[in-house]
Amino acid sequence: MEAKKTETRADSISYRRGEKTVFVESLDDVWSVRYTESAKAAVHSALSAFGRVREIANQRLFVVELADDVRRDDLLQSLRQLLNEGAVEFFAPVLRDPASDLRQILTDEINVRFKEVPSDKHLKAVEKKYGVRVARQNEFVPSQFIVKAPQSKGLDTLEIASQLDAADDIEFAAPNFISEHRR
Amino acid sequence: MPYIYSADRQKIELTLSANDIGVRFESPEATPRAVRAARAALATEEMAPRGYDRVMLLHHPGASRTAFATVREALPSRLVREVRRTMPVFTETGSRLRVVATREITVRFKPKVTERQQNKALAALNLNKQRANDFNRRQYIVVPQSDIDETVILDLANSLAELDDVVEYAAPNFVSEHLKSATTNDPRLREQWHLNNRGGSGALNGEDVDALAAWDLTPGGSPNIVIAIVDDGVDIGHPDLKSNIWVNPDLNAPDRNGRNFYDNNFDPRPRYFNPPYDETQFNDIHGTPCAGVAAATGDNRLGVAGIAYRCKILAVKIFGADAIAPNDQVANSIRYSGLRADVISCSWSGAWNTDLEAAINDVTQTGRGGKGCLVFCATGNEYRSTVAFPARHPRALAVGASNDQGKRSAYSNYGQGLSFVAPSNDPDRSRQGIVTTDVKQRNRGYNLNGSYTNDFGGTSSATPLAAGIGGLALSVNPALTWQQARDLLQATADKIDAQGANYQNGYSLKYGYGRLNAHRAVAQAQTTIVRSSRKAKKAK
Repeated sequence: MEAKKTETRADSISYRRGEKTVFVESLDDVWSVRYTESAKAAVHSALSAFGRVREIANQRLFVVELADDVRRDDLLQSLRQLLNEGAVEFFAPVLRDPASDLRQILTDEINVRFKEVPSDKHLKAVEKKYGVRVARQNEFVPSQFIVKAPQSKGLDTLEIASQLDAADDIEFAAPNFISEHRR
Repeated sequence: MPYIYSADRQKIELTLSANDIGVRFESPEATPRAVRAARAALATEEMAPRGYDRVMLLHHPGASRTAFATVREALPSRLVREVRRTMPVFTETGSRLRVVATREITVRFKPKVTERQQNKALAALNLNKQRANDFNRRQYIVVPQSDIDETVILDLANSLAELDDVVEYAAPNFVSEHLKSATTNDPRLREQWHLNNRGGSGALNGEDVDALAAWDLTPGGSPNIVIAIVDDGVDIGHPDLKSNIWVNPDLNAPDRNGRNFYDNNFDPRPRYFNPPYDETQFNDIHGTPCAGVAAATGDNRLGVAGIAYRCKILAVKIFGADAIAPNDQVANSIRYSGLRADVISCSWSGAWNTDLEAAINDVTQTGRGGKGCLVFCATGNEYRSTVAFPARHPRALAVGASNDQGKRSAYSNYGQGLSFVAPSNDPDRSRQGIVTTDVKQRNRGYNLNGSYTNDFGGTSSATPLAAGIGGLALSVNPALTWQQARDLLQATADKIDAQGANYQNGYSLKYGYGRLNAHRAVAQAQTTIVRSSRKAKKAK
């Protein structure tokens, strides 16, 4: 994943994880977009007008890097329209971990481990309280779930993850980033 | 002054060692007790006393001039009383190996030489037959009729050899130091300097993990120990890997040989390739060399040997070419490995990941029936003074890299949290790369033309080497907890680069606890078995 521009906003963004605040930086000119399978071609076509588009197929993601002569607001307007049409599930700026200098793609997913295996009723209450939807249970840890922040855009996921992480019945909650690694 | 003797028509040159003596005891039982006592009294680690039958080889500055004083310094008086004599030690010029001169000469007479002719030849040199060889009727051990200085034995042996009308050969019957013999028949083992560094090409002899000596204790480890290679896939059909690939004993289980978290299936082989096909960042070519370093099949007359060449490899694929993966999948790959493997090798790093942090906690608590998996992670290759994540996780074993000269590889991240280093390449100083397995597909891999590469390296290579050493330790002592294994790996590491490392209380920010030593780690693990069983007996 090579960013054409790697400009960083001066004000870092953050989320809470336990006692610590995790700071990340936003690459404002690199955006991730999760498309719906049926609208893949249309979304690719729309995004191509704004810059270089790269696909991460197994995650149904496009990463778009804005061209020099394109305004960010024009891209965002197009993305909101695609979101409203149901062609994309979420979009968010690609983030960067300042410690490793590696990129992290924010998605609509939050990884939540409860202190005890929750009942269905408990899960429904969590869904209602935080406006999330339980997507799947962890295969190896019965008390752990991926929840989704529906119609996610911008940095919503970070905020919801911080709220969940602070809940008494939850061991941890953190954004389920799609992360760049170094081999 | 060099000493010369003849063997097989060759002149062998020896020099008298000023700092070594041989000590002969009255009984063979005294030798091991003497070796232990002398080791505690005066030996350095590199030149520890060694014993064979009734003879001990003792190293001490100036020992040849003050032989009996050295003996009295090294041994308690009850053992001094059992010393029959001290003997000179020579160093063979070619091999640098030490030999202890005894009063014995091995002689083989030519066929059809009568016993009378034999005895006449021996009598001419004042020699007597002491004993016949069990396997050759023409061969004897002969000794001088009178008490002589052992240095004269070389001259006597030469004189006997010159009687070539009756003597086929004659040579001093030294007690000899030998190189460790636990090698394998893998043809490229000699190139695997990280296992056995014999010097040359600017490398320094012995700057390795002491694999051959470790294999003396456990040849390649145990097939009951499984090492997970969590990476971009493992070429499970590679001829030098396939017999060591873990096979699920449960015939109904879908994970036959491992698992693919990237594509969410059970085929853990490399799958994604993009030009240029020898670049890590575009291709699934990284996991296969890692697997080879840890556990390529050894002693199979093929290619290379992994350090743990009899342990099994669990192939776990989490990346597809570009090394971008969801945090929960990466974490679950560790949890899956914790169900199947004893040791987990992660030659990669990423941003801090809550779920991965939890997963490492999980497998060190629940893996191996509660004893905990050993999780080895690369510190990273970014020339930084901070250790990357997950290597800096407090329950991970953070592995840095050292080169073939026993120095930290320039790129190897270091700092707080570094556990130890293991040998790897160092392109900044033009040091050698690591020879290991490569994806076998044509025109794919670090070496586009073959199934092996000599150009692997980074902390990516050091990490599976460390994981393999962990596998060897568990092979001889599966009862070790992950903390016990970590502690013994750290305690037995070699304190390399003593001048540059700045070890404080045995720890250096650049080298951690030092460079892993497989031999000492395995020996320590075996010792732990003895202690455990003694405790168990006492408890009963």
